[in-house]
Amino acid sequence: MRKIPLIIDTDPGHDDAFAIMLALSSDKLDVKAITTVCGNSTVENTTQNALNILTLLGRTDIPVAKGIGKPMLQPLDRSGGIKVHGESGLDGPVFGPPACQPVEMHAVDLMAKIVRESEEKVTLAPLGPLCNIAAFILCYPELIQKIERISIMGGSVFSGNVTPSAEYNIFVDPESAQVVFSSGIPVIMHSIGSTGSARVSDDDIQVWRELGTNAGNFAGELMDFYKLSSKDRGFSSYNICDAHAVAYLIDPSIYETFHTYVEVDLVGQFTRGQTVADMRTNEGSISRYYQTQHKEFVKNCYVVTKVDRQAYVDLLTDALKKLG
Amino acid sequence: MNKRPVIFDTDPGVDDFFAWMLLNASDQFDIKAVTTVPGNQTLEAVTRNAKGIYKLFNMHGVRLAQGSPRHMIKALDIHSGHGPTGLGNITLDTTGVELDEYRAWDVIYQEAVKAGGELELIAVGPLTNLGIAFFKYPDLKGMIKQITVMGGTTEEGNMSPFGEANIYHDPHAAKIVFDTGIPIVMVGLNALAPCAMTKEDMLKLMPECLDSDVRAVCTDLVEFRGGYPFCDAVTVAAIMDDRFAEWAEYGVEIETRSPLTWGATICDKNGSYRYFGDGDERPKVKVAITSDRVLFFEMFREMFTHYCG
Repeated sequence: MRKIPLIIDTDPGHDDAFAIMLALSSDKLDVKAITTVCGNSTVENTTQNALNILTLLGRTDIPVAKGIGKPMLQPLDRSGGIKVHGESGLDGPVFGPPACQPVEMHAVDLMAKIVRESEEKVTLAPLGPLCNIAAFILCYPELIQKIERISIMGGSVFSGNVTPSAEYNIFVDPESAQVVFSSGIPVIMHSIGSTGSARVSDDDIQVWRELGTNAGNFAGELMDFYKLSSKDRGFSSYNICDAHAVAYLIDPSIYETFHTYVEVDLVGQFTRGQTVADMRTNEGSISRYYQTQHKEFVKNCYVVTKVDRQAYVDLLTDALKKLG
Repeated sequence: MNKRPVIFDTDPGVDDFFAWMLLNASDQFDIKAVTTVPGNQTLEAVTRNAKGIYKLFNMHGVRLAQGSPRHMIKALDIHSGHGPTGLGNITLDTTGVELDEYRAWDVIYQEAVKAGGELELIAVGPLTNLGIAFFKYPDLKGMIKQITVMGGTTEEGNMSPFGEANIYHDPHAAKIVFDTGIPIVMVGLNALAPCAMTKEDMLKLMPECLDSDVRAVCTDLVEFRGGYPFCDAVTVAAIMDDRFAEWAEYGVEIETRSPLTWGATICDKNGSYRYFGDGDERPKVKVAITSDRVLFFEMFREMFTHYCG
């Protein structure tokens, strides 16, 4: 079986670490590179965190390239990231010095190089704000058609997290997100709502700790910190959101999706950063609406509507076992 | 028990008809006035319908006032499935029904003063008249006990991806209303589906003794639009019996700036303002999450007995 060539664009991030572990454990995915972006912390910190994770997993063969450190039009709003992930973006686990360095190439250029040299179309899994992906689309329009699809963790349909309508990764850089959604590349959107419907429990975490593997122990340490913000918000289970973007590529049967039009709101007083997905099924209303708005109803996104929680947790558990 | 003094602001409308019918039949309410607003049809058409319903239900002694012909800022955009007259194809007899000498917002204010803080508003159309009332009379907001709104949604919209018609048509008025801080009950699109009623359903609920004129109108209307939930009637039902709906308390903001999302009722379901934002200062809106089909049908059965000949 051919492996899916994949670039993970990430701002690790506790849940990003799970996504990376899941990807590296899978025999269905060929992780070509990890590119870093600002989001959960500064891009300096998230790059350091990516190197630390790869060192811990013994996968220093994966190239890491540092990407963009500031959203397209606005300064990086770090307040949400600090609350959820701590000052470093990956507070909790203690790492030794990393055994690898970032490549001497901009993340966007490394993406382009990989895509250009690949015989097959390449899949992207962005786990943070979409700055790098937008820049890639803007800088290399001739390579857009060589992207198979983009499996995004980000966005909000019926509720957000940092605001009632917006999810963090999109809220941090809505303009970049709109470049990505309107690019013509098929997008799979794992929103804060769908990922939040498949939360892991304390019992699940206990299973990971008892695996006796390096990766299982690391997962436990990650969760010790990552739990805190969930508890502050009144949750007794935890949303490892980013790993869904990868899990979907390994086993799409875990997910139900709705194919529709998504546009990112850039101007709303209360809805800036919302990924406005048209979830209506009444075709009469829909066609009249798009006529009056002088827009075209283009199905650009597979919005995840349902997740098989247990299958997702099992996938994570298997990964932590396999990684050793 | 003292009856609850209410003003019913409406754009009749098939479901408005049944809401009015339910409100009028309940012994909980003392209807002080009915006011009209464009929405399901133009102001002229809905006011004509209101006169006809007023006469059919023998509302003698209740004030009937006309509201605004336009929305506060957005252009009027009449589009609905309520037919050419707004009541399907029905034109009711309006002979002898006179409109109040005052307009909707003035009637609301006058009745609020008279009711000494007890007046409730039930708004089942765009919120234009209420918006104008609070704009013209800033002190009105200290005089209203509760505002019940049929409108908005916690999920997808109908006019646009997130815009429900009543809020979408006049988001600015809706913002004025939601920003008053008055206790608001919101019954939106998300809550209605269990109460869908077909013609067959309704015919079973009608007693033998039902007044023949009332029966004829009800039958025509449910024939025209049966199978949908009667949104406005579900809303009245929700404030007749608290057990009728499952409720949540959310801070709710109305989007007025973005053409992509205007009219969206943004509900703070996850406590975002408290954890990530500027604190949880917003007044809580009582939002219906779902509704009770069995209770709704029972209410209709009882309602019909009130209209026996």
